[in-house]
Amino acid sequence: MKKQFNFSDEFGKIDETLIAEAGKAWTVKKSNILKLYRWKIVQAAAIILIFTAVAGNSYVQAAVKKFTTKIGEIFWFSKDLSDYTEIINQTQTQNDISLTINEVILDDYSLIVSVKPNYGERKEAPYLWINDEKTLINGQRYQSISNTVGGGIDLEAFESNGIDTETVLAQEYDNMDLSDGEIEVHLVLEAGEHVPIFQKNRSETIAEFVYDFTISGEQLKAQTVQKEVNMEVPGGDGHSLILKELVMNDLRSRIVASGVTWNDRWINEYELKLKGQDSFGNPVSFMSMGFRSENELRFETDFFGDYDGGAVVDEDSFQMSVPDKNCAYMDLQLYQRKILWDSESSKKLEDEYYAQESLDPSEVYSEEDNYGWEPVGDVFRIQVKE
Amino acid sequence: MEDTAIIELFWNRDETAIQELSNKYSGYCYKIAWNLLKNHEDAEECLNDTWFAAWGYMPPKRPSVLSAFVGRITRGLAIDCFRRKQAVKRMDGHIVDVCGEMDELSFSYTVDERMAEKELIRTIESFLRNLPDADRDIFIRRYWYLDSIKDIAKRHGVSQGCIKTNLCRNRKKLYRILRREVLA
Repeated sequence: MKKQFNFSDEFGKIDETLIAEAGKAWTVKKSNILKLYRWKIVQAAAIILIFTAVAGNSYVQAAVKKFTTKIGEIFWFSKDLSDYTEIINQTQTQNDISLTINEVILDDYSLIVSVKPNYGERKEAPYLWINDEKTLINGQRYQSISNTVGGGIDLEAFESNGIDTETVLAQEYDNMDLSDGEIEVHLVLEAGEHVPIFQKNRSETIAEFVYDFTISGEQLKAQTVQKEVNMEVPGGDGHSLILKELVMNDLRSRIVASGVTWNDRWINEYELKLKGQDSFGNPVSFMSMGFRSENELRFETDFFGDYDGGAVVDEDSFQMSVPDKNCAYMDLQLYQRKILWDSESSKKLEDEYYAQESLDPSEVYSEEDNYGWEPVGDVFRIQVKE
Repeated sequence: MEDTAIIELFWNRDETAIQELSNKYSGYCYKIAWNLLKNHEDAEECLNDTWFAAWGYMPPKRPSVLSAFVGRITRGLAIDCFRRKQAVKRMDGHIVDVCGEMDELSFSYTVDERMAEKELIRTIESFLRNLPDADRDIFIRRYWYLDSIKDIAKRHGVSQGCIKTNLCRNRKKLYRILRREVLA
């Protein structure tokens, strides 16, 4: 006999505690706004991983912690960035949208800009990002290896909750090797209805904003520790990673490793991280963030700390998992986690390309199984100071 | 008045119970009925029916969460009212959307495949409890409270597109789970 499962009727019978919970006022948390998206772009056999982070503002952060810069506040970055931050204060208006560039941080690896938008009569904010192709640093174009997208928010909700719409856009580069002294920046921002990889054509770009200014990256550069490591660490699938180079400063730290190439199966099936603590006891976590060249894998600390699904951020003791650059050593261990792709998210891009988003690990893995992370090999020590 | 006191009035068969229930929960229940019916008279009728249905249920029932208890009655009555009327009148865009989305999760099955009804509810509840907090709130606001995408986007401070994508992904996930459970 055939029966009909009627969802609208059955869903009406769910447990009262679930109904009551959703009946309460909702408080937006930082973890709901800052989200790292891992996409793979596929054409034939080639896979390119793309990392996009959508950043907004937290409802709770300002009251919890004192920040010295807007960039620090928006990224919830617990270290003092004021020595490295320059105030630009330039405004451009296009198509009834005004964007004011406030703070900028630049070093060989990052261009980070805080943007105060005024969207006029718009009710929904478009997405904002830095245009890689048009942005020039000392007259030269650099291809970023990851970027942050801002905007994409409901402005009425932000206004009614008294939330600041200022956002941060961050580009990360391989190594720009900037000269000493003043650096000329020709910055081009875009506003569009979709995040960049889903812009079908130029007509979906709402406005373009151009800023020219000079900045010195010397302070951050002078505070950067660079060291050759040359240490072999056993990996998965028969590979060994050779940790070659360590770069550390207050903004972020990076370890470059060889021993794998971009099309190795292990690298395409697993995400990796180096996790442990520095000699001061600070938790440290370097995530694998793609390749610097065909056979140089990058591990980096990131702005979002080391928490899976954003679920374990403690508002009073937020921890960035960034090492102290003055530490004597770091004890680390390699971890791997299977990447699961969401076939439902597959979207056709231009030509033969399509994009697929990874499943949110917090939905697939539980805290009990360490969010899917499994150790590979033993703990090892990187000596930072001899 | 406290929920426990209102429930006591019902148990004592005190007719002021209906007035107290209405005083406390008419706004809450009206919103649920309005979200689906978009008609003042129909929503009011649902509310009156809700209070009298509550009179019929209590006793013997002693609800642990009174808001959810009466909201559930209103929701059921609103869906019944909507079904009676949908054949003869043009539906609001929001209603077409939310009903279409819920229909995606409905399916036919043979008795052999049938799980006990309670098991199906447990499966749905387990799915909800395993969702991240924000996703669970979005899902329940949409399919239990029948909120518009716009209202949910405002509640969560994100774009309407984000909410649509989130709901679509979780509908597909739940559908896969339900089909797997029923056919297992």
